[in-house]
Amino acid sequence: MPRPTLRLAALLLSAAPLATAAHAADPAAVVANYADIAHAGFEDSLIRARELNAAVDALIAAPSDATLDAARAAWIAARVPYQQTEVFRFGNPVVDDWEGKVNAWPLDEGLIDYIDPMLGANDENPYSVVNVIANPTFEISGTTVDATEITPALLESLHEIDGIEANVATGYHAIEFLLWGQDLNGTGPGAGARPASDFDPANCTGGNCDRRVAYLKAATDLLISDLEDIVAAWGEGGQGRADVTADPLQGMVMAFTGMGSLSYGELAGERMKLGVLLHDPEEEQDCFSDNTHASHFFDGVGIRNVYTGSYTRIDGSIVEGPSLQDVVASADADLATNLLSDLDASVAALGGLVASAEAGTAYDQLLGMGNPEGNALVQTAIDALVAQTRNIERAVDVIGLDGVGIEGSDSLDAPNAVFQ
Amino acid sequence: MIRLTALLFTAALLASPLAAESAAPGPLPDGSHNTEPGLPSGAPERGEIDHEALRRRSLDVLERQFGAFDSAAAGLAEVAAAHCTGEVSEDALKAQFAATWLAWAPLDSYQFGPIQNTGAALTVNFWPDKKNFVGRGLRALLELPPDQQADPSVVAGASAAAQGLPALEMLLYTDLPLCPAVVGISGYMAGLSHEVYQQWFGADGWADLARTAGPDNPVYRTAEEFTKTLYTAVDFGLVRVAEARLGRPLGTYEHSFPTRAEAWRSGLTDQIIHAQLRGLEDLIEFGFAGDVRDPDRAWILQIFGQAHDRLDAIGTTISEAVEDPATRFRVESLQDKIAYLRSEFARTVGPELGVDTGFSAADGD
Repeated sequence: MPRPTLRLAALLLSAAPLATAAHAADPAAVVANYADIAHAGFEDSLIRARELNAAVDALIAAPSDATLDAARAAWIAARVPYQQTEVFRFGNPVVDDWEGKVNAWPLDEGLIDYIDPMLGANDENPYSVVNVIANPTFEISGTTVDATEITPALLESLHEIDGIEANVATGYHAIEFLLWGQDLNGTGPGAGARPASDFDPANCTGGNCDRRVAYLKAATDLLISDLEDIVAAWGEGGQGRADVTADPLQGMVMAFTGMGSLSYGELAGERMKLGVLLHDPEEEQDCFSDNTHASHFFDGVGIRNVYTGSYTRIDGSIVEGPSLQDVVASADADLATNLLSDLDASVAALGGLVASAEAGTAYDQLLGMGNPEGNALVQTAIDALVAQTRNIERAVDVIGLDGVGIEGSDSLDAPNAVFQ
Repeated sequence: MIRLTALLFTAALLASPLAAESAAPGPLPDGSHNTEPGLPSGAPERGEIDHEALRRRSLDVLERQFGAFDSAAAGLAEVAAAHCTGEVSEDALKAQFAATWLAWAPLDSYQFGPIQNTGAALTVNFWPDKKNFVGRGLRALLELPPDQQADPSVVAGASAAAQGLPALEMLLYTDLPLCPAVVGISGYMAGLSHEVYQQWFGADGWADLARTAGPDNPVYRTAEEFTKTLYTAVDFGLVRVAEARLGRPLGTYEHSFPTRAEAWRSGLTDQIIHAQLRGLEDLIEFGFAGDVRDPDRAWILQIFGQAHDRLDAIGTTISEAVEDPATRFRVESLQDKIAYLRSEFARTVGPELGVDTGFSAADGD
């Protein structure tokens, strides 16, 4: 399986430009490069999603351990570029509005398929055990839903139904659940272990294999069309690109907001600290596949990409150009270097989670109640992510951008002389 | 027993709506007056802010607020133990529980430094609870032998969702057995509240870190950076009220969520919002004080007052109000008022202090 490795991490780090400003700090060029990196990242995500779709087709055509493993490997590979795009989410309304379709989490997976009712039923969500795959019709808020045909449109209509965020019917994590099934190992070793025969109508396990196959195919098709939308949004004339390039100062605010918000509130807080405090093995983002270490790691790499203005594509080519780092360096060289050191440190700390997983201890095991060393390893990464937001804030101050952290800020009325 | 009685009396007073109304801006709640009101009124311009004085005054406010929670949590542990030995009534325990939650409410705005390091925002008040973590964590705790349930060090190793106020509320307001788990949980929370206080105001605490702002300080390179932290905390607190405390139960017009209201079981939802707003007013009036021009400070405090009025005008608990179109719009109008307060705060106070919001725990989703 093409699991991301530390060698890959080293490669990514060495591919980035040195701290010295190699390009002129022209804000328009900086945000243009930022948009190019976003476009390339989403395009890579689309390419990998199509490869996943082909692997799903092969699984459906001939269900076996080999074809299921190949589909799982394709899903893991698809996460590598996608997670590096998460930094474009916060601060970019186009991405933020769209993101929930493909990466919503956490989910009450019992909406989709069979579960162990002791593990996944949610009293707060009346639809947490609906099981669409087993039930061609069911009731939502007193209305009967016709799910005889499982189509992308049906899944879209069920997604976050009744305003409940845990009703995740689409996206990477719905597909992940279908490929792996629930991880019933708690904080012990092991991921989900769905048998390939769950996708084999001729020798069906788990019941309703034809409908499970239909769900998997519909979800994968939908992922592709959703990714096509976002690639278009970052292409020439797309809304995502227009939003960040129309006003380069505003574009840089968005870029820094994305870096800081993903670092602190989202990754360090919602996705990591919560799990450590709850000691709950399901409080990990890729809880079915036990791929969380890699997802967090590539989030960190993505944050660093935006700062250094450099992204290594899945084919090994590099998209790079004038960067936020260059802009900061032209105002305060020490700060520019310190922020790069912070980002290197968080990527390294997140790399510690990857190293742990590769050595046989998965992220969910690190969260365990009786595992203070594991808890500390996660906490180290949290601390590094929180620490880097301080220099991100200082970078915003030093280059004279107000308004970072405020959604829809209009306080751009005092741009620093550095931009004039 | 005298101390316990006094404590219970204070708790009852704090928990009463009367007390909630009486804390208008003016003398400090402990009866003393602020001796350092900051610069005289009259337009400190950008760049003339005395960030050191602002820090000194604000730390006084924070020490009082963190101290109040520390005392209330210690009192709760004491009352809980007395209840389980039959010395005090369940009503008295509920009153002290309410006082403790209302003492916590202002601290929700300060999710940086010690609160972040200890994870207290989640361990003291695990909310919102999107997947019934409180129920599951509590169930696991209640399966342990009684002596372990009563042991704070056992609770320390449990799920964060079973360590704080929502877990205590579930014990107090459902059919679950109250004793002895209430002793273990409140004992753990008392220890944590003291730890948070010490990390702030003990030797080499966060307050000292703020006081020693400078080029070699690991967190605050300048005194202004601490001002920015406090300014961000006010904005964050208002976001928490508008988006979480009001927004989550409001849901959409088609589908509201009464049981997503914080503390709906105990009915403390509205008082918690009053208390959080009052904590922020306290910081602005006595902490930011004269470093924000008089007319602007008065204007912001006036909007706070309007928000309190709108909250009182709802006429029923938020949990009930969101379901009925006739009262729902009152909750929405309160939410609008908080949004207005936030934008007016950013428009007036931010530029005057020369700071803008930084990142906060509210930035995720």
